[in-house]
Amino acid sequence: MEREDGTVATDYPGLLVERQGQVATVRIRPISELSREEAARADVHWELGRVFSDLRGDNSVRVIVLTGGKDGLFLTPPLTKVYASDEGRKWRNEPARHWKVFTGIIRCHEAMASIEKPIVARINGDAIGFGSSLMLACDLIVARRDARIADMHMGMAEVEPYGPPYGIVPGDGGLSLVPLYLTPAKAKEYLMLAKEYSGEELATMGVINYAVAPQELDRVVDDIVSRLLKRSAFALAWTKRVANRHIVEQLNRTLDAGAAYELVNFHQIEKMEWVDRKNLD
Amino acid sequence: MQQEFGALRVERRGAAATVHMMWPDGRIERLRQFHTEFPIALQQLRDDDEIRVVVLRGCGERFLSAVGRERPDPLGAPKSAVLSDPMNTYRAIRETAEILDTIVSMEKPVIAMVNGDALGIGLSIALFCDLIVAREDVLITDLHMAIDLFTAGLPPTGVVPGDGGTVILPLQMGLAKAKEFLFMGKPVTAKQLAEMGAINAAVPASELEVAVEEYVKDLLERPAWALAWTKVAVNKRLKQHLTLYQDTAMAFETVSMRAAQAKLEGGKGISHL
Repeated sequence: MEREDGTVATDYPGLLVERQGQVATVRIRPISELSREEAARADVHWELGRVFSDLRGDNSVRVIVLTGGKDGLFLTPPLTKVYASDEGRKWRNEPARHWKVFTGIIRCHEAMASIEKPIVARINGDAIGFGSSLMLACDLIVARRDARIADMHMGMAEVEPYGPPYGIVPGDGGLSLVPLYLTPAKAKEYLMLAKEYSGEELATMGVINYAVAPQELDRVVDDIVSRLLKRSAFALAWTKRVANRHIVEQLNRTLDAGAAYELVNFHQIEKMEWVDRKNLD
Repeated sequence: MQQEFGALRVERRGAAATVHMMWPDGRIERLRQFHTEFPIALQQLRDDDEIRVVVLRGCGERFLSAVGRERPDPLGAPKSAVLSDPMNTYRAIRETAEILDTIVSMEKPVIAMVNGDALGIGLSIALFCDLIVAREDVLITDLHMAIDLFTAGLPPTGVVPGDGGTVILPLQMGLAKAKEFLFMGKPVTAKQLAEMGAINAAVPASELEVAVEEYVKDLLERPAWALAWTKVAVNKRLKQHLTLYQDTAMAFETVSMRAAQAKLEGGKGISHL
């Protein structure tokens, strides 16, 4: 299924997959670059699940790089005004959409945790919401110093200009992965108060491997990739596999519960006519 | 995007899909190709929202077996498929993990229609399904520790049951019984398993298809998303067990094959530590 130009012909309209030797680079295409037809079919959660399953079975690939398709943008969520629009609200609680997103999120995280090949995050720009979850689902993480990194689910539109004006459970992986990377107190601040960090701050805290100037990003990622490829193939594959067992277990413990509560929140807020509530009774 | 397969066939009828494993005749020679194709077919069925229920069945006289009378050398499989080639060790382990993960994770019930013997990996695949309906007289047995069972005159030999038996047997029948079956490779019929509550039903051969059809029909009458999420919720324990046991068992199985092979080649015995 590989085309002559090295891209892979698949049914992932929201992604670009490039192959170079034993490295596959998966680029998340910005929504603005998709055609109308592609945008209608694209679902980044599902497609990432599928692409990682496909690459898992392809023994010619040993290392994967995950990156955004445009300078300054890894992956960001819809704008606050989209959440607040009539169209955005109408579409929000469509059961078929909930099903697709819910299963896609689980499929994506399971595939990233299970694949025997290291995934290097090339955080070429802002990684917010699911972008932040995806970053933490990678094995080695290199970010632009100035990348904005946040989980906006509980942001109350403070992570401008992104996310809903009301708070929802961070159910697309943040609740599962952030507690593995940050200390408990910092993790809860990140999730509950949607605290924003720069790539540089996260590198200083030891959460990600490196934060670099934009012009250094490719050099540092390429260096990591080439050093990974020097390792013995089977040993590297099984080291990734076993090192990630606790992540698979963590996903099993928390991912569906978080995603399900997030969906419940969306139904609640609809019943409350899109006005959030500050009391429990 | 539907892929053509050689050693399995996917038959779709409305919202149900039946996978005919080891197509067309169930012969053991097809196992290697089947093992590679099966995880791909399962992922495709998982991705396909048109399909709500999946049935797994064998072809010919078998459900799925790694051993049988047409292959007299019981270590033929590990020797040729795994031990002699490090690539195959990696391939076999990866595919096994993906097969079990996908059956457990896919958000739709999977029914095992056990139409014939389910031995070794066949046992694991049958018992990992959500509902298990079998012909009452078939063997559903983890043979890893008794791979000499079908071969007269061969010294007793065995390997660690690494393709799922250590995960699933303790859940379906309790730890004491599971150890008896795993340590000794003790042959057990579907009828016995049904009496222990380890499978849903054991029926005469003539009634098997009807019994499975009834389960399929009954499942399809349930609300689609509720059924899917019920499976997700109830299988969390199974996923946890897979994480806990599966890689250890697969790795030790591969290591123990080397010892079993040495014994058959006249080396130091396998009856000493």
